[in-house]
Amino acid sequence: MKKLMLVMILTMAVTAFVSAEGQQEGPAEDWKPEKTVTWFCTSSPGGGSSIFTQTIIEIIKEEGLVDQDIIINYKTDGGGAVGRRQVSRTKSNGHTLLTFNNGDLQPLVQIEGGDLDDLTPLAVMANDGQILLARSDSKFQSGEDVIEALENGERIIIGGSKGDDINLYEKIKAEVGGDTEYLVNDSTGNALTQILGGDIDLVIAKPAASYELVSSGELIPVIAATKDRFDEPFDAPTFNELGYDIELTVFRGIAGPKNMPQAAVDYWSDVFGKVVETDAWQEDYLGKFLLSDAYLPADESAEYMQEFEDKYTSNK
Amino acid sequence: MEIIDLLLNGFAIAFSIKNFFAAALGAFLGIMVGAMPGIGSLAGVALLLPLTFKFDPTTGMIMLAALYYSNMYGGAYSSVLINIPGDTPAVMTGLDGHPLAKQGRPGTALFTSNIASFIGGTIGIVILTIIGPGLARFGLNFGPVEMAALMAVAMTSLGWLLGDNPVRGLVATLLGILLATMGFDAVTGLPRYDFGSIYLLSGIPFIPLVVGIFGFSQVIEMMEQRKKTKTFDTKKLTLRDSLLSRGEVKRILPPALRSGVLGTFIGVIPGAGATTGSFLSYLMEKRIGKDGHKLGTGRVEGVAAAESGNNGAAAGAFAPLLALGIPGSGTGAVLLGGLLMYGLNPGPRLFQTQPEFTWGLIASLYVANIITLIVALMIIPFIIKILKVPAEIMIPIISTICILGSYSANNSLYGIVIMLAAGVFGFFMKKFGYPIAPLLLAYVLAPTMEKNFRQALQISDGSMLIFLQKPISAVLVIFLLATVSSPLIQRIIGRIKNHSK
Repeated sequence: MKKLMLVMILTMAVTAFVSAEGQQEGPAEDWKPEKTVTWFCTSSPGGGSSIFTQTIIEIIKEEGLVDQDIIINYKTDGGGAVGRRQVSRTKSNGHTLLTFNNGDLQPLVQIEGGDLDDLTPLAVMANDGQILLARSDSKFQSGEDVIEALENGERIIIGGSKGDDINLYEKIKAEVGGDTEYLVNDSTGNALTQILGGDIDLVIAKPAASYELVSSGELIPVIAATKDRFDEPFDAPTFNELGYDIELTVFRGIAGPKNMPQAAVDYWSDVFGKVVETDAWQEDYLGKFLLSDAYLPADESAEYMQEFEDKYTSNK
Repeated sequence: MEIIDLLLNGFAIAFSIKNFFAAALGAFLGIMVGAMPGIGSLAGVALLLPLTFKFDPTTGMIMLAALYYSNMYGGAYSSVLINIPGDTPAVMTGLDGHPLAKQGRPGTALFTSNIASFIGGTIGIVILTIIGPGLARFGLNFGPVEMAALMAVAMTSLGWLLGDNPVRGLVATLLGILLATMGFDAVTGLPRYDFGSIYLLSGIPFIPLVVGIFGFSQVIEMMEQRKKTKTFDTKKLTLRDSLLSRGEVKRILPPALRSGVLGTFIGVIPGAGATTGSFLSYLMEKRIGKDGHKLGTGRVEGVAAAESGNNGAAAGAFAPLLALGIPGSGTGAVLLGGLLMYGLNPGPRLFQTQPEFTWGLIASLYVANIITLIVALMIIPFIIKILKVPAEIMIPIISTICILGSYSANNSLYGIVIMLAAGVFGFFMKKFGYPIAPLLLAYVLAPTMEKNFRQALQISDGSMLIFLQKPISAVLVIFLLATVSSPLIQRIIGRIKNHSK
């Protein structure tokens, strides 16, 4: 009898664990999540995308905007293609989200046209900018040092994340030239450990992931790839100032699977609209990490992202 | 002395009835989640994190730390009892833990595993307390070149280490590497070995592979042998028999201490992780331990080395997290999120600007570790009874766990297909005497090795000499060459001696 009890308890425990995952729900006018929401992040922990995602989830929790738990699933394989594919293949029920920025529209290899066709954009949350950082004890102390070394054909190893960082690297190589090599990482976090360890000379980063290291003076900003200079502590000349036309905007957005029901799209668009209005978002994220407010709701973000994709695919 | 003052202060805050219960609850849930194959520590911590927000920061942090630790403890339970590792580091624990359980001593195996986990964790925290920030700097010395060399050492050792026949071990290792290359190329992003299938494009998913190759293959085995033998000697399944004898305590102490230190240092290397920690600790024990050659036959030393290394690494991983603000793993990122929420800003300035909280956290880690140990030990007498369940009932239960575990990993039937295929494959591997552990470890380590190796060659512009130019990798490469060539040299020397006689 005891054995049977044990067996039953074990089986129940197992079922309890799993049934939380796989429930289906009927369509509803007034949609809201009914189980744990999985949020895919295609960069590894410690990078900008991870900070972006965690910040939003924290604000949602703090403000009580969503009743259910939201957990992050880090899927970095294949330069993020695996995670994006998994989201696009999810039978849509509104419980799957994906962190999505321009880099994701320019995967290393285009396998089936634009990735945007398989996703439903939910929001554009902010515009981010990229900046080249060097170690404070390196030979590169200013933007001029870097440009000079590139023009003289010195061998320089640059590291960074994938997607938009590769894009910036390619642009630098095309415009400025030089004998360079690019090490791709799953996130800016990994690239930062490489520059701290002295394995690479320069790192392409964004303020969020590198904030503590730059504030403490460990890393110094050398050239910004933005239109205007960043504020302190990321104040450095832009490529434009140094005579090169390199200027990139990186949008940070959120998407869901292709066939997400309209009610769920509206729900999430509404939630993210509330997130961007909070002080926590405006000051502790945008303000601190020097991003610019660029919020767009679901329908407008779809158009906005499509413009980017058209631009990239026509360039190919 | 300031450090000690601050630490004692932290303890004063950390010790209270409320904190004790919060930690005990965290530990219990953590062990349960850790023991479930398919639900790793990342999902576990992420799922349980919201629970901790209902408490004040110190209590919440202690609960979170208890969760994190107990997850590491939990992986060993399923590995020892049913030979399905709850997480990757537990693969090493199972090598000696499961044979021990088969000899009717599952309690001993779990006891050893818990005590060693505790020792490893404690060593890790003590080292963290003394040289935390410096430790993080040490980890930075391991760039792509060093990591590639370290992984190469690990890979070549796999075949020799596990199983009786090096050639078969090598075959298993290479199969693991081959499987790991499926999916996307980590550097260029090109698809490899996808055979035109949209499913294979993302490679072989890890959890279904583990669950199948360890768990389901066992189900097939049990069905085959059902009539022949009684699976386990179940007479001695009481708490008293689970306790370690004085002799055994003496046997596990040296490996646990050594591995705790090694594991801690592995843990601070960015991207190395607990799996590498437990694996290299086991490797060290096999090489320098007193009865190293007997490892793999159900020795408490093996369990102790693996578990202590694993937990040392888990504690060591806090160093880069706190001192650089860079989390080493998904679990670390969730913890980082928790820290940020409690107003802590991990980074180079942390130890100066927020000493109370930092030391409070480290004190919490100590407290959490102790409470986790108590809870873990209390579970043993109940959980080992699982072995009394006869095979006829265990077969459907394990099958259910396998199917649910592999499905819930990705919420997809594809996981179950992979699990079943891996199960059949694993069954035949065992049948023909090929060890499974090297395959799995190679599968886990290969992507890290490949990526770092290629990055190293990018840095050097294709020259292999870079591995000898950097001191750490030079030492590793020399060690590697010595390991590989030593059997050959021994044989040659033997020949010469024979000739001269």
